[in-house]
Formats: sequence, C-alpha cells, structure tokens
Amino acid sequence: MSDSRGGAALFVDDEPRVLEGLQRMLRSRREAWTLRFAASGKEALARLEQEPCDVLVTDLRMPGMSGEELLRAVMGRHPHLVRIILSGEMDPSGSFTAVQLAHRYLAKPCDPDALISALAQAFSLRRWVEAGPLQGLLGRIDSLPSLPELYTRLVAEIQAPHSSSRRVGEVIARDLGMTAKILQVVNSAFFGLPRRVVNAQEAVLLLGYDTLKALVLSSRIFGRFDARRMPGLNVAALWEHCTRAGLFARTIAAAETLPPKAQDEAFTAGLLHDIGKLVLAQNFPQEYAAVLEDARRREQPSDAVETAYFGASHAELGAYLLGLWGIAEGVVQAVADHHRTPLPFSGLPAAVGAANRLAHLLAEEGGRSETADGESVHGAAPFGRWQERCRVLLAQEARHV
Amino acid sequence: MTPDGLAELRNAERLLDELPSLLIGLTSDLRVTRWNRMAGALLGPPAPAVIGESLDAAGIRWDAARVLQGLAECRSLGRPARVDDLAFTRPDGSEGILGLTVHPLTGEAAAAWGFTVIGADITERKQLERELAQSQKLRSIGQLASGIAHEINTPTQYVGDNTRFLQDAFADLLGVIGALTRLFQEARSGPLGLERLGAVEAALRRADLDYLAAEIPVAIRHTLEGVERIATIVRALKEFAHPGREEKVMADLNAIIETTLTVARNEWKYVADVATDLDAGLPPLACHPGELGQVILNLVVNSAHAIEEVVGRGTGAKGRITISTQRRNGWARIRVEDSGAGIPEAVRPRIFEPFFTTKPAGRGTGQGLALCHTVIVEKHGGRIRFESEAGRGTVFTIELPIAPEEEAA
Repeated sequence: MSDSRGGAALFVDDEPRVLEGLQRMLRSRREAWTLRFAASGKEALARLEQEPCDVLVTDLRMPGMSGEELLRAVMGRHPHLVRIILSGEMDPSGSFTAVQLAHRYLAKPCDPDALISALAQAFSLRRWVEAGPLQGLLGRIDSLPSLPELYTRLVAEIQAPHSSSRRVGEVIARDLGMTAKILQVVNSAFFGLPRRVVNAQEAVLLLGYDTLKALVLSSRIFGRFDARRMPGLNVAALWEHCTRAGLFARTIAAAETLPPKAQDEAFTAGLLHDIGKLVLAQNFPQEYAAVLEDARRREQPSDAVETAYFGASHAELGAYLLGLWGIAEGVVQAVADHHRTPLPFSGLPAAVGAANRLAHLLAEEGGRSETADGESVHGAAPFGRWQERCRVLLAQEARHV
Repeated sequence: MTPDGLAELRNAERLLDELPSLLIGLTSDLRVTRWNRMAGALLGPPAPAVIGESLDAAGIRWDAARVLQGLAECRSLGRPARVDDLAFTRPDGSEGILGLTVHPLTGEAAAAWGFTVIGADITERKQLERELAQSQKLRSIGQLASGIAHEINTPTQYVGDNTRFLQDAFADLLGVIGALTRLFQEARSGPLGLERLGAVEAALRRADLDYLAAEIPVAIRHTLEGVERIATIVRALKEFAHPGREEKVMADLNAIIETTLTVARNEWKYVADVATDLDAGLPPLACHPGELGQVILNLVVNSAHAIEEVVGRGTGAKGRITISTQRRNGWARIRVEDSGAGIPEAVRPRIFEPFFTTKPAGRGTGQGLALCHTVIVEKHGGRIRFESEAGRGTVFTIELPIAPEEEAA
C-alpha cells in the first residue's frame, strides 16, 4: 500500500443516491484518492477482503447488517482501518455503542469540505504507519482507547443545529467531577479572569468549545487508565504535568500574540501531548515500566529510549491517536513534535514543546519561586521570558490555594 | 297532601335546586315547568322569569335548532336523546359548551307528556380533552422526530454533494469554454498552430466531458428529487402536527393516509414494504383529520412492530403492510393489513383497553389502540374491528360514516 496515491476509502450506505452523490462530490479528488462504494455491510466486508483500504465511512441505520455490526466486524478483521461514521441520526447518543466503535462521527448532512478534510486527515495518518515509525508498534497494540462518551456527547451537542452554550453547559453540569475539573482550570491564574467562575455554563462561555473539548477529552482519557496496572507511570503526576503544559502553552501562545484559535490549540496540544504514554503503559505495562526505568538510569529523554524499544515514541503514538479522532491537524503536529521543537519561536509546535519543558523544569524547582531567571540551557531570550511569566502565574496560583 | 308529604316535596325541590347540573322540565308543547338554579346560572334568566313561558321565548342563547332536534328525536323514538357539544353563551357573554340529555316524561294521561332536560357545562372537560389529544399527538411526533430527522438528513446529504459536484463541473466547463473561445479568436486572426489545438484538446480531456455529460443531468435530477423529498416530509409533518379544530372539517381520507405514511416512513421502511390501494372515488369526509392520522399512525407502527417480531431486527428481511380504502354503502372503509406475528388469542378481547400492552417498556404505552377506539367509535360514530391469525398477520378494518348528519336525519 505504500505507493504514492493519497489513500483509499470505502463508503457504505443503503441509500444509493447518497453513494452517488459522494462519488460525484469527491470527483475533484479522483486523481489522488481511490474511492469505493458498497450498498450494504456485507458487501463492504467482501470488498475489504479483496482490496485493502485505509478508511471506512459508514452509515448506521441500514437494513441487514447495521453500521454497528459492520464496525464491530471491521475492528476485528481490519483493526488499522480508520473508521468514520456518516449518519443522519439526530441523536448519536441513541446509537452510542456504535459511536464508540468508530474513530469519528460525522453528522449527515455533512459539509463537503468537512468530509474532504476528515478524509485527508485520515489518509495523512498513513505517514506514521506505512514505512513510518508506528508500523511495527501498531501491530502489537490490541486496542487504542476509544473516544470517551462524554466527549462524544459534547461534540454532538456542539454540532447540533440548535446548539447553545447553555445546552452545552448542561451536558457538562450533569457530570460533577468534570464540572469541578473545568472550574479549577478556568479559575486558574493562567486564565487571568477578574473573578471566580462558579458554574459550568459560565465556564463554557469563557473557555470556548475547543478548550472545553480538550479538557473533557484529556480528563476522561486519564480517568480511564487504571494506575495500579501501570507500575512505571505515575498517572496523577502525569495529569498534573499535562494540565500545566496546557496552561503554559496557552500562556506562551498568548505572549507571542498568536490568534485566539491557535491559543486554544496550544492549550489542547499541551494538555494531550503525553497521551501516547498512557497507551504505551496500558498495552505494555511491564515493558514500559522497564523502558522508563532505563531512561531514568541512563539519564536519557524517555522518547529516545521509547523509540529504541518500540520503534516510535509516545509523541508519535499520541499524535496518531489524536489524528484518528479528528483533532485539529495543528494540534496533532505539535504533539508529534513536542520533543524536537526548534527554537527560536516558530508558532504552535514551539509553544507546546517549550511548555512541556517548562512544566518539567518548574516542577523540579518545586515551587521555589525565588529562583533566578534563565539559568538553564534554554536560556534563549524568548524561553527565559516565558519561563518568568509562567513562574509568576504559578506563584499566584499557589497563593490562591 | 299530608304535612309530611309537603315537607318531602319541599326537600325534593331544594335537592333539585342544589343539583350541580342544569335541570329543565318541559311540557309536550315546550313550556317550562321546572328550571333549577344551575339552569338559571348557566343560561341567564332565573326561574320565576321563565316558568310557564315557552322555551323559545325564554331568551336563551344557545344553538336552539339542535335542542329542538334533540326534543323531536326524543319524542319520536320515545327514548332519551343526547345533544352533545352544544355551543351556548353564558349570562356574562362568555362562550361555552353544554352536554345535554333529553329524557321523555310520560304521565298517566297523554296530556301529561313532557321532557326533562339534564345537562352540564362541559367546556373545561372539552378543553382538557383537546389538550390531551394534542399532547398525545405531540408525543408521537417526539417519538417520530429522530426518524423524521433521519429521513430529512439523508436527502440533504446527497443534495449538498450533488450541488458541490455541479459547482465543480461548472468551473471545469467554464475552463473548456474559455479555451475554446480563445481558440476561436486566434482562428479568426490567422492560421492556428498545432500546439494550440493540442492545448485545447488537453483541456477537453481534463474536463472529462463524457463523464460530465452523463453525470450532470443525473446530479440535477437527484438534487431536484431530493429537495422535493424534503419538501414532502416537511409538508406532511406540518399537516400531521396541525392542532385539530373542535368541529369536524371536510378532509380527504386518502391524503391523511399518505401524509401519515410519509411522516412515519422511518418507522416501517427497514422492516416492511408498504403498498396502498386507495379508492380515488372516496368523497371528502367530515372528520378530525389530525386524530384520524394518529389512528393510522398507531396501526402502522403496530404493524411494523408485529412484522419485526417475525422477520427479526436488522436481518434485512421485510414483511408487507397493505393499506386500502373503499367506499361501501355510505361508509368509508380503511383496511390496514400486515404480515406480522398476529395478535395472540388470549389478549384479543383486551387490546382496546387503555394501558393494556404486550410490548416491552419503551415500545408501547398501551394507549395506541385505546385511542384508536375512542377516535373512531366515539368521535366519528364509526366502527373498528380486527381479524388476526397467529403467525400470519392482522387486519384492522375501520369504517366511518360518509355523511353522518344525513344518515341520522
């Protein structure tokens, strides 16, 4: 499959006009992409046996084999196929098990550009897999985590035609633990709000949907890992580190006057940059504990040792996972590159890479806020400035508590 | 009369006055002999002003023609007659609805013939009934909503995709036309080089004109059909959801059936093929269209569930639902026939009882068939019956009088 083509997708829908429409709409990509169409789940499975494919795009409600059954079968037989649902269901939570089996959920009617970019992103994931660093590793991973339910609900509510921040807030407010986490973040000194936010609705307004989604995603993914089963990894400390990296990245992006959207993406990327570690720790608990121990003993960065053991690091694995879920491409790239960030400042990846290092560095300082500035090897001008800014905010935060 | 008898009579008088219903006594030539307090409160004049007067001289503001019709019916048949849903105006000018029953009074002598009219102000109850019917309709729309959304989202998807294709195709065609136009201009000003022709040929090839010529008309057709499909669903939904009026209106039964099938399509299309055989000669019917639609909906959804029991969920196998209408001796007959599991013998006598259901929680409230019965029998003076064979299917037959007023007269 490692030819130069852009990728192959298989569309499944029981309404032939939907398939014909997609075929015509995607005609402009005919030279880059291979597009196939099947009118039922059964036909889709048969075609997948004959011709390998990169992406499956399926309807849910179909006579005979339902979309849910198809997704389940595909998970078993073709685990590395990117699975996307394209459904006219009004309330995806009604078909929730199906949604959990897919990497992405697109609602019908789906804007042609949104569908094209979803496909493009799914195809671009091949860069990690085919002759890429994850080629061997993915084959050894039984299952990648599925999207958390609350996250899917949230995205569905945001996409709904009559969505409002009030209704989105209600989705959050129903989950007390999540509300508490979100309020903690929004009230952090890093957001610099003049007063305390006390309810989910208000937090939704202030954080914006992208930040909110990132928070829900990360906290749910972290919450799902059983720390006792992963001896090598301190999950609580990692969560703390990731939250800080998110806040730092946002602060740096703001300090460098990146546009608001990029600031949100910086936050998301910071929050999620180590998600690959969780996947490694869950799938290879003993092995990964040994890898981390090895890195500590030899005083080497973990990503280098991971690459030596697994062929890829948590950065690439995490980026791949986020790409599967359709997280913004900028975030995916920043997560992939967070250990090899070039300085001087070069936008989002630099902000995230620097935030990661800062979060480690300031954690080592252990809150000694009187530390002199810029003594580190990262003493380049912008880094020192960011370090100072984050240190001041951390100190403020410590006083708050 | 003994003093005791007198006291008893007074008691009886007081009792009649205290009745929460109106009570009017009439002689056979319609003079008022009795007029209790509630009659005065509802209709205006107090007892002393009307006793002994003729009923039509009493200045009562109600639909007098219908009251006279009820009295005539009672007299000719010699049994009680009902005057339902009688519009009247209260002394304070507000409008209301009365429910009356006219009872014949037969004395020992023929001259003692007369009537007792008993009734009550049922405005509030009518209002509640209407609200209940509307809320039931809204509830079924709520249940249908996700299916309807699915029915709309699917065509919207291919309308959007085809339109995007047409946009791209138009740009390609404009490119070709541009190349050809330049070619013409150059041809006019002198001989053409071969390489110019080659460039135009390449543009033509790129545009893949054969493909466009074949696909553009189909894309346009699918787009128009998709828009029409969406419009049909929206129209049907509007008709279906329309709050019914108090009085009957003339409506086309066949159209009600088509509308309901459109709205409910997503409920049956995965388990059944629906065939209709509708009698085009059926005249418009005085009815409550919204409530009849609800009846058809309940029967069709029941049929779909019964078929699903047979073919299984998500097997791809389908059963059959046939809906037909016929005109039969002054009756409009609707048959809803399915190839479903049939109704078990043991439950057959109970299916029209309110809250009786054999469906698992969440699939039925046990109100569907009870509602069908109320709507058909009580509100439309019609009949509903069924035949069922276990494993073979069920047929519901509804008969509605085509012109109830004329029949009755």
